[in-house]
Amino acid sequence: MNNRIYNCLRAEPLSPSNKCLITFALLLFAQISVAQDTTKLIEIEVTAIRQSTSFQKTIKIDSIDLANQSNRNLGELLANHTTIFIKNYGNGALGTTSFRGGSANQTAILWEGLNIKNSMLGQTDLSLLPLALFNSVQIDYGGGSALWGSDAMGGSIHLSGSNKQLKQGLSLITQLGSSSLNAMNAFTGFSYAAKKLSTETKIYLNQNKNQFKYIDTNLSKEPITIKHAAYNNFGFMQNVNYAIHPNHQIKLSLWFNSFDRQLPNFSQTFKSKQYQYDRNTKLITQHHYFKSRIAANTKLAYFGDVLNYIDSIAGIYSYSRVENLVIDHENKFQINKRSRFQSGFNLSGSKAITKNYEDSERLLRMGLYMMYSYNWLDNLTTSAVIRYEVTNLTKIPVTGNLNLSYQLTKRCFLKLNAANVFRQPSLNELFWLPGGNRNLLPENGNVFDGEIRYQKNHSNLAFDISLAAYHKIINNWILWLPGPNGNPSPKNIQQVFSRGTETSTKLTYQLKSLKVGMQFLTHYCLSTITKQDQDYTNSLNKQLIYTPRYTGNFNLFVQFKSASLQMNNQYVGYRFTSSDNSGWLNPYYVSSIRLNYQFILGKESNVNLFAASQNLFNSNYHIVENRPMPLRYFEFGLSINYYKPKTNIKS
Amino acid sequence: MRLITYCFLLLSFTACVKDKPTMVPKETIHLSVAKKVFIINEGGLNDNKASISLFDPGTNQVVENYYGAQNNNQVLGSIAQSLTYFQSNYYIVINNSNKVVVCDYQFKKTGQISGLMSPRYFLPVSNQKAYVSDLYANQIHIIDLGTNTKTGSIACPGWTEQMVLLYNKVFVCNYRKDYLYVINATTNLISDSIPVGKNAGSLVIDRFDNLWVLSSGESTNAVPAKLSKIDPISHNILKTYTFQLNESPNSLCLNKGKDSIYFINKNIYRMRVSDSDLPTTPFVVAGSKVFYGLGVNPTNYNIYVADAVDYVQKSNVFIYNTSGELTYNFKAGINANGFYFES
Repeated sequence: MNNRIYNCLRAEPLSPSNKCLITFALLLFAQISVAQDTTKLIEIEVTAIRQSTSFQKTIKIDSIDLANQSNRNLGELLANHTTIFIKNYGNGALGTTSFRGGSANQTAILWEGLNIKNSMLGQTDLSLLPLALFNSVQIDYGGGSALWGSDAMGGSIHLSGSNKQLKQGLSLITQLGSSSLNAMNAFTGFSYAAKKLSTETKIYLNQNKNQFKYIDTNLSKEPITIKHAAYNNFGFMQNVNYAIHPNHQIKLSLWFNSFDRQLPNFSQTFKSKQYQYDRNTKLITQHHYFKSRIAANTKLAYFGDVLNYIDSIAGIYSYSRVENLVIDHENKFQINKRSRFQSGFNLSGSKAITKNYEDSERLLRMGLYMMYSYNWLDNLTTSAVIRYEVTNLTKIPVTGNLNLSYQLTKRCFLKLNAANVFRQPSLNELFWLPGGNRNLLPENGNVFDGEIRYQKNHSNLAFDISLAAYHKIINNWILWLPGPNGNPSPKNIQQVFSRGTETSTKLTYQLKSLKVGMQFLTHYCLSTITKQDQDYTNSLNKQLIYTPRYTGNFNLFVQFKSASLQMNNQYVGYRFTSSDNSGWLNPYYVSSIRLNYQFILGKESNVNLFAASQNLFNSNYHIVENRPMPLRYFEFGLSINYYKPKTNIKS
Repeated sequence: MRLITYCFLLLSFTACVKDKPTMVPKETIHLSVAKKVFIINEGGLNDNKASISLFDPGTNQVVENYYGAQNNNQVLGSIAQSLTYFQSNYYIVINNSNKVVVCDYQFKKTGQISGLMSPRYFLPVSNQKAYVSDLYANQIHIIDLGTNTKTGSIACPGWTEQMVLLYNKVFVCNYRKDYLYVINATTNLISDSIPVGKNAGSLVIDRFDNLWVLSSGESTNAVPAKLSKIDPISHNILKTYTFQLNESPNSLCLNKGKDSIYFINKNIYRMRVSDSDLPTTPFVVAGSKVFYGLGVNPTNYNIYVADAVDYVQKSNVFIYNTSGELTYNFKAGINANGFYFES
């Protein structure tokens, strides 16, 4: 495969005050002229060594869906295109996952194969992950701790910001957008690729006054405009690939993100003075080696997260900084036609600085994994993974996976996965003062899951159906309980049993210039507390809070010539708000619609106009109690895509 | 293939558990003539589930949301902090909703005191005037009880907490300072401050008119908790009891005879006001329970303890007799933090 260029530069509507966008564009156009001097280089291709797609249920988000939602964040994408429940505290506010009945800490979110959670919090805020940056979003369902380490208990989400489909040449994307919430967003991306070198630059700016309306039914039936909920997100990502030899490639990825937000308090009496400032810096350097039956990848990474929370009324000025240094190595050896061996290690050190710890606390970890796959018949493959991990704080159990992949018929596939999984307690759970508990054990458990899938193409019609089921028991589940003087303290308190089914139906029909597609997803999840080390608790055998039993999505896509229409519908069932299931939130159903029209400017250059309505049917809903979501609002914008093939570039 | 398709369709549209939760039918409750116990349930932060439960010791029956029951299911607000009864009115302090809800003797809402920042405790200091302590306002609010309005304030930096009135002086705990503040109830001026240590939150007056103040200390800075016995006239500290560094006691209460004090220090402890040392043996062992609120019924010496469990389910309330034996337990609202005993 050729190393092809991507380019994405999207800038968005700038209000007159936002002259910085113009600066982006100027900078990028300046880069084009520089890039044109690049000479002919050799071809390169690199694929990830660790792959769980062969034995776990996997969804890869369609590139059209990614492009259509590039002004949104990862949480919004997952809510629209998967049945993972996203616990969203409001537009632009904290968003976390509940994956197959797990907690927010039990999903591993990886960028370029490395876990990017905030080590203090033990989780990733999905609102900090703008989709404009990512060319690939892949979701692996089921236990995967042996491969991906801590957190991959319910599943893992893999993000990649580099485009493996880059075309040789130059490309540029500029996107501008605005919304009726008094928001504007701009994205600009530039890429250049030749045989040996490729570079991608992405810059984004999202300013949102976030003046959405909601209805507080306790006060009135009239909509209220939310106050003090604005946010401002800015950042950039730079990827550079260089093939130093036909078998060696180095890659550098740098990502800086700045997210400032106001936090509303919904008080009718006084205005909130709460703010949160996030600064995230991530740098990964990689070396790939590949030759006939061997492939190896080594990464050196630095992740720094600063979280500054201010509540001037409460007198809270909380500053925390956590830094992670990671060395990760993996290699693959194809022993013969049927068997393959993989192994790798991960060394990481996390250091947190906050006045809420007794000292600058450190977490040092070393993980080692090995995987062996054997292809018994052409249609049957089994594999086994084992992982040994040690830390300076917590004793981690040995984990592993046993997998089977079987092609039942020409079009029918079966995947089975049995796994031990674990989660290392977060730094806050261990050290936060007051309340942190240094004696916490890791959460651990067993997961069994499988998927059967049937795919068929018939004339102009293609369909793909999948049925998955899972069974997961997690022990030593950590809960924050009331501690001395009312201060909460985390404890390994309960066992949770999650089980459920997922279905997926996709149909696509194409006739000449008309293309119609639909996707129907369902998820049924029972996640109940089966053991609790407290007397007089009423949560035994009750559904976990904020874990809907039923979720469903129905998405529709119609394209005719240059025009396309996409509609997303999401249903989320009852969510309990109390662990004894005595309080709950009603189900909600939300829809969005988006219209695109593309003007072709040249062979591979075009201008796209779009208009969208979020919450089309004006549903007044809360995902989290007393955290209202916006009533209907509108978005519109344009994107310009420009591509210049390599052959046209002067050399 | 057909079998797979049928299974798929079946699982797409069916499941085992009905999604809609079942509403528990409300029982008809007949209250006895016994003196009632009101339980203050904070609810969760921002969930508008603050409530007051009513327990009838005569029948052992509980009205779960007594305020809602008496006020057409009105919502009380977010974080009920305290309840005070004065001149046939109940004053419910709703901390996160920035207000004090005023109810008549039947618990029907008659008014509301607004304009407060983060109110904590309500203390009537005369027939016309009350003080309200506050978490963030850096002041004590002065309330006109005739109009239920805020008429002024007394600057008092820090998180002011429980207060008592004695000899026309109001003694105010302050979590953020090392001192107990003394306010002249007539002039509304701070007249003195008494060093009692870090995180003083609760205080009582014993049968000898001595003040007892419990400071929780600050284990993060190696400051131990203290129990201070104070002469309210001279403001001299008569005795200080010092806890171990890892202890963080709270919720100081008195018994009916005002000669024994109780507090939570993970377990429940009891000591006589004449004791020279802190108790070493728990009066009630917590075990796996998480004690969050404490009260002693002035009519019968029974000790009421609230267990918040996991913050997100109904609390347990345990009733112990004076021998520390559990006599009854029942469910109250989320995060029960204290009690008001009808007398």
